[in-house]
Amino acid sequence: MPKGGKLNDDGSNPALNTYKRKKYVWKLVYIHILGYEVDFGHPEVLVLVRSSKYGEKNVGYTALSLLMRGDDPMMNSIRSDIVKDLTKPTAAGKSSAPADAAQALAICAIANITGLELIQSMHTEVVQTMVAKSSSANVKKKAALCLLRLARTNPKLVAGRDFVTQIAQLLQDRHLGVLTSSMSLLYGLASQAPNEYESLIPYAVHILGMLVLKKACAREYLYYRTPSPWLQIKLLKFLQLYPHALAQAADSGTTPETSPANGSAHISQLTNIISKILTETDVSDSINKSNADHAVLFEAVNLIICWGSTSQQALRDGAMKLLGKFISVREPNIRYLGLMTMAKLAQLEGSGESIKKHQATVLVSLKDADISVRRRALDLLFVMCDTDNAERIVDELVAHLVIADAAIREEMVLKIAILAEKYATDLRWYVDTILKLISISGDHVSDAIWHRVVQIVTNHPQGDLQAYTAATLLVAASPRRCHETTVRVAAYILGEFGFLIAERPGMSGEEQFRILHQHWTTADPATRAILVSSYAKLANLYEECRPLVAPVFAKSMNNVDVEIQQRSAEYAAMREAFSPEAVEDLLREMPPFEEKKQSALEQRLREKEGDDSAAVVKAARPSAAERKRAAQSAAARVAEEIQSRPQTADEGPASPMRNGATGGNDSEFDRSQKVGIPKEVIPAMRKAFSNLCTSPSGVLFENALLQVGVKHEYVGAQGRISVFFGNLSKAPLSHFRADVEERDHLKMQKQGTQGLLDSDENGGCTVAVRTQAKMLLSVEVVAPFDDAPAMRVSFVTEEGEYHEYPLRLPIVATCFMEPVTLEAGAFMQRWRSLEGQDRECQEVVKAPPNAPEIDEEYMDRIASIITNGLKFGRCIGCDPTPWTVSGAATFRTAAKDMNGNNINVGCLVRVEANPQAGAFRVTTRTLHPLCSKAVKNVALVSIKLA
Amino acid sequence: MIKGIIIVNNHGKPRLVKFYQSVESESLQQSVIRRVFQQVAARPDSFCNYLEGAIPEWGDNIKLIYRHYATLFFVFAVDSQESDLGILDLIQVFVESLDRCFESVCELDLIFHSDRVHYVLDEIVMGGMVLETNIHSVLQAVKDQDRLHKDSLTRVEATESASHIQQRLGGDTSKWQYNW
Repeated sequence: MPKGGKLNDDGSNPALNTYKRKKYVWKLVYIHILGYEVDFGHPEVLVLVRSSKYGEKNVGYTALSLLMRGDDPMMNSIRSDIVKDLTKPTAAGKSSAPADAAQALAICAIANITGLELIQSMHTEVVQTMVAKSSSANVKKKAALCLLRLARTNPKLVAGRDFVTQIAQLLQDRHLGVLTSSMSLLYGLASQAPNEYESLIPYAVHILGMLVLKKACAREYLYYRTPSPWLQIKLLKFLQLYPHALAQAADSGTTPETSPANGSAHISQLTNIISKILTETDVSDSINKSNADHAVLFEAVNLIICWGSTSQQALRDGAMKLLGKFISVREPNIRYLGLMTMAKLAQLEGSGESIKKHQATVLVSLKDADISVRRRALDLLFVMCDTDNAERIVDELVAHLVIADAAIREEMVLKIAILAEKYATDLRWYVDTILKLISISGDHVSDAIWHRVVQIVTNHPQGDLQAYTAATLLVAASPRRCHETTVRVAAYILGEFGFLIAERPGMSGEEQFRILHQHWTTADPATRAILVSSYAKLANLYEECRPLVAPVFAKSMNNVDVEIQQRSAEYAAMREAFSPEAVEDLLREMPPFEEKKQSALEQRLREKEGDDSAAVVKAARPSAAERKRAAQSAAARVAEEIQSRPQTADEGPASPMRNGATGGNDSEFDRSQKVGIPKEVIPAMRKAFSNLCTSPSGVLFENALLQVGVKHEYVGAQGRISVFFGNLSKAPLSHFRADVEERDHLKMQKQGTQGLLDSDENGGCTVAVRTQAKMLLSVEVVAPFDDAPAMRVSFVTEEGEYHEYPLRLPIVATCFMEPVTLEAGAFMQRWRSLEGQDRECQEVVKAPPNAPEIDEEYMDRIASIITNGLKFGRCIGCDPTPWTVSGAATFRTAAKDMNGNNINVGCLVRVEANPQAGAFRVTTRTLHPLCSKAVKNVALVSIKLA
Repeated sequence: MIKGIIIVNNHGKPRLVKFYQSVESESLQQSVIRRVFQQVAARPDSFCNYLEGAIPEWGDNIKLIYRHYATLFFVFAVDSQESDLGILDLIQVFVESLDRCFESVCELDLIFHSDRVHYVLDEIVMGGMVLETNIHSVLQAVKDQDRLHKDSLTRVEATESASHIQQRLGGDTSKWQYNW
């Protein structure tokens, strides 16, 4: 840059005259604007700033604020000079300049340069300048703005309380320039701490009244015949910070802070002003005049929106009518702002119906050539959507997506996905819509969107949604070419729910594999990883798929992508490493996803649009359809839990506890105020339950509020169970209820503290601090069973929180055992006679990782579990080595057979230890399959706890 | 607040750049200007004067509000606190002030009198906040400044030349004054 070189030479000359130095500095500024780095010549700027001549100082300050940042090290050397200009207006005395000319320059420079240090060291001077009587209007207004700048950079600098009076004083100034600046300052400060400045509302209303009602405004401040629109805007924006002003005035008449003399007079004046703005704004020929008027008008409408339902109905209707007009005009600016403001208005309760009338108009704007207008129209459509018009709007949007350009597609896709989810009355429609999105604009469908599909489908097992989705996706993935995202969703869904459609023609497991695998070569690593998992699930379900899948795994074990490599290696080796049941368990369907308060999509919307956008507020509010769905699925899940109890129990007695855990999530899911069992305590609960199964008394559940203790004893087929509910909190628990589920296999008689057994929600007893409620159950078993009865404990805390804990009582099959001592020969004879599929249960269990080595002492413990805990008689003769424990018992029921004798079930158990592997094999053989299972389960958990 | 003001011509050459929220480096500043120009220039005049969320350097939810006059784009980047139409009016005030200042302003005025353009702008917007919207008082302030500027410098020139003569005359000022 030769010019720079020349400049450099010039700059090094110490004896530059004024003209040359100015010219030099201006050249620097120009070079800076053109985009070249200017890292020289700064000393010349400082020389100009320090100059006593106004002409030089002026140039110096302008250049300073353009060329330097607040954190520039050179700022340190110049700081004292700026302070000097700021505090001693007479310093420029040599020239004929008015005393405050240099002061104004200094203030201007401080405001323009952003730098915390500079600002902190000078704010007191700026405040003094602003409120000094001697300061001219010009300086005052600059000081006010400068202070606002400081307050924005560091909110703590300006202390509120004592500042209110000073601003009040400024607001009484007659100079409209000063008023505008002061209002800027007030608005800036008040938006940081609205409460502190509430007392200034009457001042603002007064000024607004002067401008709007009396048109009292100096001639120069008329902008195209509108009295200072900027001041009006600032005033209206300030008033928007107080949405409750109207309501408060109506409530109390006077608030102590507002001027007591005229009470709420200013509020009624304000209403007059607003209605005048609404009614008297005309469309004008001059675009500038109409701009200015509409600027004020839009702020007035915003104010009405802020007030919401506390404002007069007439005002809201007026605003609605005007906006309806605006969104249909041709002038793009007004249309744009109309759409934007209407989206805000749509948040008000009860505005929905009147807005829906404009749906067709808004759709026209969606097709506008201008992206800004289209965005606003999209936003408004999004906000006006509800269950009634959702399908139509979403269909319109999808149709428009086909022709929409790239700039707006991502936004549209996101919004369509949210709407479809929110307002779907039929979730199949939702799935279809998302599939359409993928096929039209797959690149803009983020992972979050398809993850959401998977979540929703997994969490809604009722109806045929899962089968429908699987079938639809199979069809969608059938063509040779389809979008990567389609392959991913299809792979995941078919892996999970493919079995639901495997019976249909052309949709067998093999066919599913073939359709998915045709995309293998073109898929990227992330998709392949999903495919690998799906293959594993398919291979697990369909024998015929195994030979197809094996080579894929074998090949992928050397894949460069670590994820694919690991998955294939693990799936391939799984069958050899684990028992078939364990493999089955691993490849089972995924459990329902946890419902989060805010979905990933809403999160994304928030990131894009900021917290206060109308769309974000809208998205966060649950729709009627969503609530209904949540309620339905919660109900369905409860129903399912009841139905599927016999099946779920096959995971062992610990599983009721797991059900308890999902029960806790259920309550979270339907978002009522219900508090369930926190996750952390579930392992402890499970342990407590297992302990109680084999010991006569103990604590079943404990948290900060409540302790549930159980004592139980059994004779033959009968048992007596006492349950104690102790209040551990510091306040009484009211509406305390315990509801024990009645089952066919257990005859039950219940007694308890007055009210404890109420079935009515509002009933229940009150448990005072440090006291107990008691429940006594007498049970008689009439048939074999393998689970434990459920007990629902609910109460309300003093704070009004509703707690509900789904628990299980430790009444399991082994409670009703009676030991039998058998000779070795008799044992073996019976053992052999009970051989067979449904009579035998067998499972291998690993000793807990922290347990000592399996030695004879350990085996003694196992033996005592079998005899004392499970109440079996030990058959010593059958255990020649110390590594086996055999036992026999009778399960007594109160049911009578044809001859009038009690029905009893003989049970045999055998535990074999493998000390090298640190594992035990538990085998049970009984006459009744349920008995075998129940005994095995209790034995397993007891051994785990040993 | 107003984050920055950019005047750029139809070919993308910046004619005035004022960042009220500074960006990290010169090159970043240039890239901001370039992007602003590209986005604004792509829009025909029949479109509205707003463009949303386009400049991440200034934060989220930045709106570009611009007007196109003959060969120049006047672009204001603002955050959500400002009134949209108000800023549009402000651009008009700025342009009208320049117009009266230069008597029908054109692009060349901005190049050859960039100092005056800055003075005018400093009277309208300060630190990203609207300072004065009254064209008369803006022009008056600029005029006053001009006068001060000239006064201070002609005086300086006078004193300079005086001291010059003084030196030549060998310091006998009283005599010189007397002779004068």
